[in-house]
Amino acid sequence: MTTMEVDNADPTGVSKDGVVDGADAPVAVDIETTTVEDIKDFVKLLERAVATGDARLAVRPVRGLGYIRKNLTANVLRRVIRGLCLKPEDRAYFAQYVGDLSEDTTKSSQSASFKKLADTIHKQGTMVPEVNVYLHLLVLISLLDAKKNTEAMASAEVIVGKVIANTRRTMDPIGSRVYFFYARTYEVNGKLSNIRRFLLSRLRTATLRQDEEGQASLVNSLLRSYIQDNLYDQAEKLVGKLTYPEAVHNNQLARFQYYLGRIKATKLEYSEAQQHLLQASRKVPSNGAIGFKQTVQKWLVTVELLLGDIPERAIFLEKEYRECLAPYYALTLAIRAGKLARFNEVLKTYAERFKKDETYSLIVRLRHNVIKTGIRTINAAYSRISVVDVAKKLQLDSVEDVYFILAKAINERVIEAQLLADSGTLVSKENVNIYSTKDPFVAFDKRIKFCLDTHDQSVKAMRFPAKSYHGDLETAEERREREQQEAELAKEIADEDDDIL
Amino acid sequence: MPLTTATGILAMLDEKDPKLKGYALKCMNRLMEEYWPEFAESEFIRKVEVFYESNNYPAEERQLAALVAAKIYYNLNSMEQALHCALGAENILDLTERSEFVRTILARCIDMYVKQRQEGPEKRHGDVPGADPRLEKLVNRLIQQCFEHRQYRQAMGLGIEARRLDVFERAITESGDQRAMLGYGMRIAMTLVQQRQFRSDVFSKLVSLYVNIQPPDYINMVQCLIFMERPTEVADILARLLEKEDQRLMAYQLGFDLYENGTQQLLHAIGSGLTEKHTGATGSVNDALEKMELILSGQLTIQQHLQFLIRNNHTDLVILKQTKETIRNSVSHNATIISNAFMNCGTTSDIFLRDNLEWLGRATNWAKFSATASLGVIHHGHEKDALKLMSTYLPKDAGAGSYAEGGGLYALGLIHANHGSEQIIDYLQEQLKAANNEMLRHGGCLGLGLAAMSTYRDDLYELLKSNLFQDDAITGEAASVAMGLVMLGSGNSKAVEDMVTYAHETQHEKILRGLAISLALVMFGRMEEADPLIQQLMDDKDPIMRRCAMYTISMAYCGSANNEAIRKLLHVAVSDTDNDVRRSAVLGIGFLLFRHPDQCPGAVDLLAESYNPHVRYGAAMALGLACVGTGSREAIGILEPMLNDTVNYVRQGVYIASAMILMQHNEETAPKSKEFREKFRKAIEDKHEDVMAKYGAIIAQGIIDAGGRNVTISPQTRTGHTSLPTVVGLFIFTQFWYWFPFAHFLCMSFTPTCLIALNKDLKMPKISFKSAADPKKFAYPPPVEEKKTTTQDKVQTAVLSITAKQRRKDELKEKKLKDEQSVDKMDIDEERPAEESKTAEEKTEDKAGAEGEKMEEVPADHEILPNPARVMHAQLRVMSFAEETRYRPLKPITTGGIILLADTSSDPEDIVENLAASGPKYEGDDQEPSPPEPFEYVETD
Repeated sequence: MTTMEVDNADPTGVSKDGVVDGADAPVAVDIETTTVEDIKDFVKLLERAVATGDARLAVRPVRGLGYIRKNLTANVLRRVIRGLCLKPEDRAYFAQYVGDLSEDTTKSSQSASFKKLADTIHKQGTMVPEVNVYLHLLVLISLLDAKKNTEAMASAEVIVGKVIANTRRTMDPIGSRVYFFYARTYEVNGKLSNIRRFLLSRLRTATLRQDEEGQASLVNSLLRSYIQDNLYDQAEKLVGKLTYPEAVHNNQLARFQYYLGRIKATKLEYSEAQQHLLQASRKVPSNGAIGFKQTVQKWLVTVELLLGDIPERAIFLEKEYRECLAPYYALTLAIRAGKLARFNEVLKTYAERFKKDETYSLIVRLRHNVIKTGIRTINAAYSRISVVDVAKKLQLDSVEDVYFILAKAINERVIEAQLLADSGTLVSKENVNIYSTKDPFVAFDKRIKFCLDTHDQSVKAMRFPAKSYHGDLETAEERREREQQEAELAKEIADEDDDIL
Repeated sequence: MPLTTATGILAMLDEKDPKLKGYALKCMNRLMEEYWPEFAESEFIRKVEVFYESNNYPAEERQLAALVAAKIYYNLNSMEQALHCALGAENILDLTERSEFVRTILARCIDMYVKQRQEGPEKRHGDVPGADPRLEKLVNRLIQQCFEHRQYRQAMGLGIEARRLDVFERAITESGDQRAMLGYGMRIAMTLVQQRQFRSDVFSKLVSLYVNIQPPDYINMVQCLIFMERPTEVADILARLLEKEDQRLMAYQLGFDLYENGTQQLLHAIGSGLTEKHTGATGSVNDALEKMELILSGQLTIQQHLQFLIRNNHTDLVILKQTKETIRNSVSHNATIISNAFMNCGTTSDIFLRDNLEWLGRATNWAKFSATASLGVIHHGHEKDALKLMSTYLPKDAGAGSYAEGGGLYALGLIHANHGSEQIIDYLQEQLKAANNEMLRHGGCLGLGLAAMSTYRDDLYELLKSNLFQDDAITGEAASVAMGLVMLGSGNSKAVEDMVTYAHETQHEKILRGLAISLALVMFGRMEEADPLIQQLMDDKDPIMRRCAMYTISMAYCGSANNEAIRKLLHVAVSDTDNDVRRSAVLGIGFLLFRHPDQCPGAVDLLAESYNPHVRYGAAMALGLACVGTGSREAIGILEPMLNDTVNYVRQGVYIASAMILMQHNEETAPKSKEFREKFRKAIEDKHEDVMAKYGAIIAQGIIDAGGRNVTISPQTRTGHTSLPTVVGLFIFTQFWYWFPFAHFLCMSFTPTCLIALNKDLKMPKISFKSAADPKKFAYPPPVEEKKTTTQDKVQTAVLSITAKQRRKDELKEKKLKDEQSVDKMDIDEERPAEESKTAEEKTEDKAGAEGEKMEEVPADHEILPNPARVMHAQLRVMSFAEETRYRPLKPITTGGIILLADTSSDPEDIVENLAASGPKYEGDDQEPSPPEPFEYVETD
């Protein structure tokens, strides 16, 4: 379980140092200043969202978190908090996490705009709760990045308390992120299972209030907690009783599909698992979130192998996967060849890697697939072969076992063949022309459905600004002119008609 | 290792020992939050339910099982079942628990209870339980809790929603502040209760409570009684009050309120009830009784309003003149006359017509009918001399032609609209009987209908019916409308039956149209009682009858914002095959929503962009009707792009609707108003503009400046009743689509925006009010600048100088009076006359359009207005007396309208002189004021 943060974490490297000295280099200062400005913009948006009661406005600051997180330094935080917090209690609270706020290193030019913003976000002396939570969240994120886990725990408790105390719709988008980081904090402290009850109760509330982002985020955290404790049964039951909100951010959806894929795979429902994992890999943002992509891909390859399919070679050659998928590549080759010995060897060599990836339990199941593939190749190669030879080729000791295996394979329609018991031979049937069967239709149908689905989803995702078409309306004069022209044209046409006659 | 799965607990459900099962349930209840996904498997739910339903277990454990099942369903988001199970849990469900589960279940519970109570067959009787007894028990517990926590308003709301009068009553009596709670109850009963029958029940309860408090609150009590239409009880109260010298004023005030809110029929009944009680009265009681009758007959109200309108007339004749000069065809000509009538409605100023007699003469045939009728609009309410005024146009041996005579009868009706005295009704009745052609009969029917509006008089109804049965298209149309007017709001089943039958017999579309209007009028305000008729009409295959269904919905449910009715209208608006039906359906939305003008723009927003021009027209008019006089920014925002609509009649509707919305608004209160006025002018002057759109623009000019800029249209009265004449006026006005003369009906809808104070002699004493707002905010819009290029404006100047002179004379006279009297006044009053004369002077200047230097320009924070004052609705709440007075108002002056003042001193009072109405003068008519006596002007400032 290395990846959870589709849109934030960057497990491939770039270790983030929580505290960077602001006075390091001019470039750093610039980044710092722009980040501060960005945060200010987002705070403004939040304030507008609260003022107009339109929760959609609050979505942008929340989505910008990932980007801000990259440049979030203690200095940035200090500057923002110094500028925006007017109440001494707030300042004192933040000071325990980000350090002393009293020294004034900000340029005076910024103070004016800060002052104005600070005034607007304070209603009757207290800060707008949404903004307060947002600042809190920034602090929490910086603590997590700095690996100050115990401090993060304390901070997370406070911030969740604030979210719960507020019942406004405008809190929902930011609340969903708070739940995520709350769960994350508990996870890094190894206590994720402790808050399951809490998460469930919040999920209930979110469902009652139709807070879709919140539901999505909470369900994901819950599933993660179940899977971490190998409680696949409970996880499946939970998923079965929910309707997962559709209109949520793709990242949430990707995460959910990934968890779902894992649950299904563990529960032996491979084709469903494959679909979910495919969805997950599609919903991932196209750049970034490499760790997540890699994990999904590992699972996908495993599930495909379990289904008896051979993944495309191109996947293993892609730059970002080449390294991490190497064991899986070896595995695929072994299975493709149908060589049990080779398979065993791969399993032995990479056992640690697989265990780390948590795919080991599935890969053990692949043994059957290796045999199946072997049988299939043999069946294709020989029109008639004795069972003893088959046993030799598959490197199986017991001929009787091979009888059973072959019978099962024929029964499951893995191969089209006949097992002649008296002569002890396997006789393959003539290869039927696949295009005379229904298979191509099914395959096409599947693809068409997929295309239509993708189309529908993209249409649904489109948004038009309200009433934007009013601008194009012609004025009275324009209309009159057009009508006149049309009349003239009609007359001309009529005249021409007359000419012909 | 902490617990990670609840399988063990669930396994216990299969045990034989009930104790173990009970224990399992307890555990489930405790662990619900964390393990509900495991509990929610169907097999376990079934087991729990079986446990709850079987009789083998103790009640408490069964209730626990129900609670567990309820929680599982709740977590599964299937609230219906959760509620069902929760009801089974009965007492084990702790209502005081502040958990989300309990709160959600309770909310659902109340919803369901309310629904059951409202839908139940016993809905007519508030006290018969019509709901699941367990549900009722739960709700009762909840109500009890409300009382324990002193949440009386919540309890009252629940009582009203759930049709529980006992709870309603208890909430009022147990609260500490009965008076405030009664007021609150009255307000919600009036605005939120959508069922007529139940509303009467609530009001009767309210009345019984009002009687018990000391001192009794007569004003609100009478409001309730008006709603319930209980004339005898009102008469009782009035009689009791009149007997006591000190209570007489209150009786007068009630009389004025009654006239403002009651139907003619109700007022008649009250009047006759009063005379019965006091047949043998003598002396001062008798005197008071006579006054009371005068008040109830409405004569005084109308007189005061007429005085107010004449006094403050701000008609801008330049607008009319400009219009007159640009128009070319008969439709616009007709429109200009109607427009003039609106502008001068009730001001009795027919200068424009008399100055342009020759131009007026161009109207022929039905246009002449309409032009003559427009005199009735101008003299609306000028009842004293009505017959004399109209004498030239009334049927005589050497008549002015049938069209004019017919118009004359119609005009008489308009003058006496909703207020016909015996005498005038008799006159019209005779004229109608004697009429020998269809023009006369048309005018006569309309006139009679108007004068005898909502009197429910059978003899008139029969007379009109006999006219209808002549099966003459023109007569029949008017006769059927008049029948509707006479039976307005009666819900009379015989009348409905007559009309529906005849509608199916007749061949004439005009008669059908008339009957469609008429049926709607009969069902005015009857709400759910009209449902069977509406359903029957909606299923008719004749589109006119379906349209009638739409009208009937609009009238029966007017102002109720009833969801069911709106749904019906919206459905028809997008599904009917006939354009007229769709248009009327959309238009009806406007009538339904006038109490919630803020909701209308949202409701018709999409319809306003329909591909169908009729629907667009309907949407525009619906906005106009619902947001009338509000200046609503949203409504104007929707209408503005529609000004460029490609279809001529849509533009017409937009012009009229926007004028209705912007009535009495200046640039301060509605920034767009100036722009729209400009648009109207442009549309009229534009040679290329279609004549239909022009018609709309001209009428719009009339509406936006109606009644000398001193009236507005408000479909609900100051106390929140639906104003019957206003709604009916608007409704028939919208019928101008088919028949232009119907446009005149709008004059019934105009309500003067005034604040008039009367003393015990029912005269206006001289006092002044203070409006604590910038005078600019509520000022008249500036007069239109005359274009410099105009060649001759002799006529114009002549007019101006005459009126100016006349006014100046009056002002001087007033001032002189004042000066004389200020000598023996108290010290406090010293400064006031000066101030007042200053404002008066300022006004004179404004009126005369003189360009003398205006009082400069310190942003004032208040304004002093003399009695009677022009006070707009929004302005009312900043009104107060200008200074300490000897008078004490009987109800807060912020309510507006006519307010009686109790006099605390016995000194002689200053009385505001009545102004003479203008209009044609007759021989022997010595209303001309005598020239003022010579005086010396003293600058007191």
